[in-house]
Amino acid sequence: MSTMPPPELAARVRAAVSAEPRPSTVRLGTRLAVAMGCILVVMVVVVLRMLRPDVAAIPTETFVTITGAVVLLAIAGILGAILPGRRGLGPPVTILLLVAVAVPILYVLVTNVAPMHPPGAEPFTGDFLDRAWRCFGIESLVALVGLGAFLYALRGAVPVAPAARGAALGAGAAAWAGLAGHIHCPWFDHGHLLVAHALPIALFAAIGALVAPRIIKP
Amino acid sequence: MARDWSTGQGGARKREENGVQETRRAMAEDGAELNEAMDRYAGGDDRAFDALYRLISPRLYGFCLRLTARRSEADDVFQETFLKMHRSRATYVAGSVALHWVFAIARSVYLDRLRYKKRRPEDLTETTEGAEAFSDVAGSFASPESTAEARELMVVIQKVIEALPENQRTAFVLLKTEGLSVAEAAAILGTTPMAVKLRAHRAYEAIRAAIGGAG
Repeated sequence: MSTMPPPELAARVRAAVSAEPRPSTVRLGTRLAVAMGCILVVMVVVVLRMLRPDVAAIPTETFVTITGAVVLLAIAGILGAILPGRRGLGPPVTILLLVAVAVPILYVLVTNVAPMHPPGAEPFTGDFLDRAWRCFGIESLVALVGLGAFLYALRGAVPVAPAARGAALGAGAAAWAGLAGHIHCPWFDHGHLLVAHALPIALFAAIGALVAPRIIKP
Repeated sequence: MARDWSTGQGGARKREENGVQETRRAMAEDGAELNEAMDRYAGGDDRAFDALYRLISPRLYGFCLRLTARRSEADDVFQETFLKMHRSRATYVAGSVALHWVFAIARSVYLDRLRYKKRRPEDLTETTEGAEAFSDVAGSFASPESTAEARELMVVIQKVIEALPENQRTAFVLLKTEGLSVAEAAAILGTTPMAVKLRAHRAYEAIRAAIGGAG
């Protein structure tokens, strides 16, 4: 049912829009591709400069299976957060919440049920806190880059469920951080994997939910 | 013997179906033109703004009126929506339904205003401005016999809708007055179809109860 706005309102709107600085014309798809590119650059740096020292000793099948699963989880997580949805308003809120909750849980399952390591390796040596902070810090940095890149790409683009979208973005971006941790860190003690590798994913889902609305709402 | 659909009850139903189909066809044509204008505007073509405004402003203004139930506030939400639409135009997903995107932005603007008001409560004098936006809603509940009665009914509905929680109000407006499907309304509201149906039903019951009480 339509109702004509008064002519003076039309004039107000036109004047207000004319007074605005010209907005960016970079389309959303391009912005998201650039954000994804940022994450991939970070991953390349991790692979080239921070690869775990025991990777050559890990059985190929184990490496491919577990790393492949983590890669798929990271891809699914970020796609679940950024796809446009059937109506261009983003994924349904049920999908967003599923990503935010399921990604950290699945990461724990994939990396903890049968942790990846060379045969006979020690699960952990050294100071627990020291190692935990190091991995936690590296993952948080990667997650920050990823989440920051996607929040910047999606600025002003999410009028629907911005908090849920932020949570999914946080979890999706941090899943890539989890992949970085998985590629970098040789320790497979369950406590270390939970605290230093999986916890950042859950934390960034929460951070995304809190921070994202201010940035990604129109 | 074949049924004659041109007369009697069957004929009336057929004419109503034809009317609805004609309205949907007209809306679909307008929708296609609007989506095309939005695509061009999103791509940076400033000349598309006039066509965009012409095509979207009646629906958007009606939506803002029903959402806010106050003309002055509807004007502000309407203007702010156009501004945000302009700033975010490059984020419009090509090929999607422009109207839904704009409705989503308008609702987001309105939610922000509600949150702002909660932190800074102001004494709002009662007003019946904007009641005429509910003429179609009034018509679906009753058949008033005079203009005065119709006006009274619209004011009752306006007050009820104003008092509803925002999510019920928006669900009701999207489904019952804007004619969107449950799935479309759910996408705009960022919730599930079940939740939309429940909210709209609660709003409908509240209006019905109020009309019954006023009658």
